[in-house]
This record gives sequence, C-alpha cells and structure tokens, in this order.
Amino acid sequence: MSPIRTLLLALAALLLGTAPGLAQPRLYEQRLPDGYALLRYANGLAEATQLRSEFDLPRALGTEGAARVTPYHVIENVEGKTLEMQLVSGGTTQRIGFTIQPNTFNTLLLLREGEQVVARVIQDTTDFNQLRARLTFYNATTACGATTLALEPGGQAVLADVAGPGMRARTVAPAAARVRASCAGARVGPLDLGRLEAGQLVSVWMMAPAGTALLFRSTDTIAPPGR
Amino acid sequence: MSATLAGLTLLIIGDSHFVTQGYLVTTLHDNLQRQGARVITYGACGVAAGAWVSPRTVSCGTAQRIGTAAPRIDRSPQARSWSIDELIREHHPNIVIVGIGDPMAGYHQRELPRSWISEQVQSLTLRLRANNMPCLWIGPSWGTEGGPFFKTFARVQEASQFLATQVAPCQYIDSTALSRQGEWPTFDGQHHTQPGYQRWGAALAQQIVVSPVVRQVQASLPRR
Repeated sequence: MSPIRTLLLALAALLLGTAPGLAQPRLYEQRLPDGYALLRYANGLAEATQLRSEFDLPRALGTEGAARVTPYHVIENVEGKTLEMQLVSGGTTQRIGFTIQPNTFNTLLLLREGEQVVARVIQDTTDFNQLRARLTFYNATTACGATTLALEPGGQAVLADVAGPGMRARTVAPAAARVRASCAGARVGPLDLGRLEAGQLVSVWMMAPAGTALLFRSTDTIAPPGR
Repeated sequence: MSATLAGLTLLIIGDSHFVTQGYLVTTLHDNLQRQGARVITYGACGVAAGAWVSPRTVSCGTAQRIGTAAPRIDRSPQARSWSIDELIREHHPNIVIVGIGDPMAGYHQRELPRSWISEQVQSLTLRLRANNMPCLWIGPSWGTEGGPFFKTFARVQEASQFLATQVAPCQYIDSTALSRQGEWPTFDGQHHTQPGYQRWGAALAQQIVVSPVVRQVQASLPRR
C-alpha cells in the first residue's frame, strides 16, 4: 500500500472515527491510522514569517488576518520524532523544535514570549458535521488571560474560558453571528462572522502580535499532499 | 406524479453518495420515482466499479432501497457489495444507472490513476454489455476544495473528462456541468449538505429523463 493511500485511510479514520461527539457515519473506506499527522501554522508574531524544514515544504505566513494561518498540511512519520524548523521573522533567524502525535490535527502557534519566539503545539479536535457549522476559538495570546468568545451584542458565551495559548471548539446551528472576546478585561472585537452554513469549518483567532489584541477568522482547510 | 418514466424499472448502483439517508439514495431515487419509474438503488461506500463485478467487503457501509421502502443501511463489518449480474437477474431493470466517480478519482494520489480506472470501469461495462443492459454513468460532482479527502476542482475535472471517455456503452452524465465549482455545499469536501444532495438529485433526474438512453428504451417498450 502506498504511503499516500495509507495517509488517506488514516485521515479517514482520524476524521470519522475518533472525534468526540461524532454524529456522522463513516463515509469512506478506512483502516487504523499509521503514523501521519496534520499540521498547520499560525503566525502570532508582529512580522511576516518564513518556515523551512526537512519534513514539510517551505511555508510563508503573513500578518493580515487569515494570511496568518495556513491550511493543514500532511506530515509523515511523526511518531517519536522531534520536528525541527528554521524560522525567519523580523530579520532574525532561529530554530524551533516540537513534537506532534500520530493521527492528530495540530496547530503550531508562533508567539513571542518576552524576547523569545516560541512555538506552541495546540492539538486540535475534528468534527465534520453535515447539519451544523463548526466553530473553533483560539486564544493565541500569552498575556490576555482566559477569555470567552461571546455573541455581540447580547454577550451570550459561545466558547467560554479559553486559556491562552489554547483552543476550544463546538458545532453551532447555521446562523449569522457577530462575536467579541476580551483581553485582560478589555473588549476585543466585535468580529462579524457572516452567516455560518452547515458543514462550514471556521476558526476565530485572538492574537496580540504587537501587544494589542485583535480578532479575525479563517476557514479550516486541508491541503492536498505535496502542496 | 408525472408519468414521464412510467413503465421503466431503473436499477441504480453507486458509491458513498448512495449510502446515507438524505444523500442520492433519497434525493435521486425519490425524484425518479416521482417521474413514474420503479427505482431500485444499491450503494457501496468507497469502492470502485470492480466491486460490483466481484463482490467484496465494504468497510464503510452499504445501502439498498427498493421502491418506496426506506433505505436499508448496513454499516456492519459484514457489509458487502453486490454482483451486478445477480442484481440484474433479480430486478429485471430496463436501464442500469451507475454512480461511481469519487472512489476512482485518486484524490490522494499525485496523478489520476488512468489505467486502474479503465480496468475498473471496463470490468463493469463488460457485464452490462453481456446482460444487454442500456446504461447511464453519473460522474463526480465538484464538491469543495480543502477537505480531508483532498478533492480538488482540477482533479474532479480531469477525472470526469477521463471517465466520459471510458464508460461506453453507457451514456455519461457530467455532474460538473450541472453546477458551478463549489456551488453545492459539502461538509467534508466530498459529501454534500442536504441542500447540495437535493440539488444534485434533482439535476440528475432532469438529465436522466431526457437522456437518449431513456428515450430509446421507452420507445422500445410495448404500448400500454
């Protein structure tokens, strides 16, 4: 069996077999996962960032909204390995290392902590739902404290008490929504999400790349192998 | 009920799009039935055309639906595809409609597996020819990009164009001509949301009703 076929089967199992609260039936042939993982990169830094590694193609991360976040990319044979990358941002170059577990979805969040640029791995959850939209909220900050993503203007909590850096996710009924969050007690947003449709996968990010917190959204996608 | 397809028995065999309530096993089946046809649908998830010649275990489920009955869905480890020869013998259809596209498009592969697709398609069309069965073949829909099955518009187009050249003597129905790219929503890139299946099912039924194959078979039926 080719590595890529193994990957497909592994992904199918990942997506359709292990997600908590999964309501959808299995939709594609599958077998147990076999050492692959999915990884996307999120730039919480003030400057555009380039990433180079031996395990993935070169990646470039922007500084404007969704340009800060890449699609998920397929990473092979992650079991027991430290993945190392060269990171170039704001004229400085450094190496980062991290591990991810096989058969998982992950976001590598790049943050500045004091003088250091650090890479935090956030293991994501997955849920593909035919009837509902899925919303994930990332508190991609280190100084804001726990925060709640809430509806604007009513203030009803959508995803509550998300510590940074970290995430929480849920499915929601299709609807239009405006949301807000907070950073150290100060309001952040609002952000108009537009209408969330059934089947849509949306992430809302709170970042503070230059010290001031901001909210933006991105759509969760998976890049085909080799892209 | 319209009587456009009255007197016809249509046997549909298909992939995962025919294995869950609300998918084409519901929307296409119901649409054709409303046109007066007797409709029998069998679905086997994720397997290529050859699995309908040499039945095999289907690890992600099968469905069968006969007439107005509800679909019987089997997601047990024992679920198996069916032999097209046996289905034809059992149901005596006037026309077979094949809906197998996505499982053969190799979305996870860098190249479209043309030789393998040809082998798979020909193994099934050989049996349809041997049974003297008029047939239609439904190609894949656009779906949406960025899902876990790696479906891309470029590959769908390539696969659809290639399938169109392979399925003779079946008439090819190009699903990509029935919508714009990404117009019918999906929840995983490949499987549509309910509005998507409703629109795909309705569009396919329209194509089937006016297809030369259906017209020809209708013309050959004894007048009632």
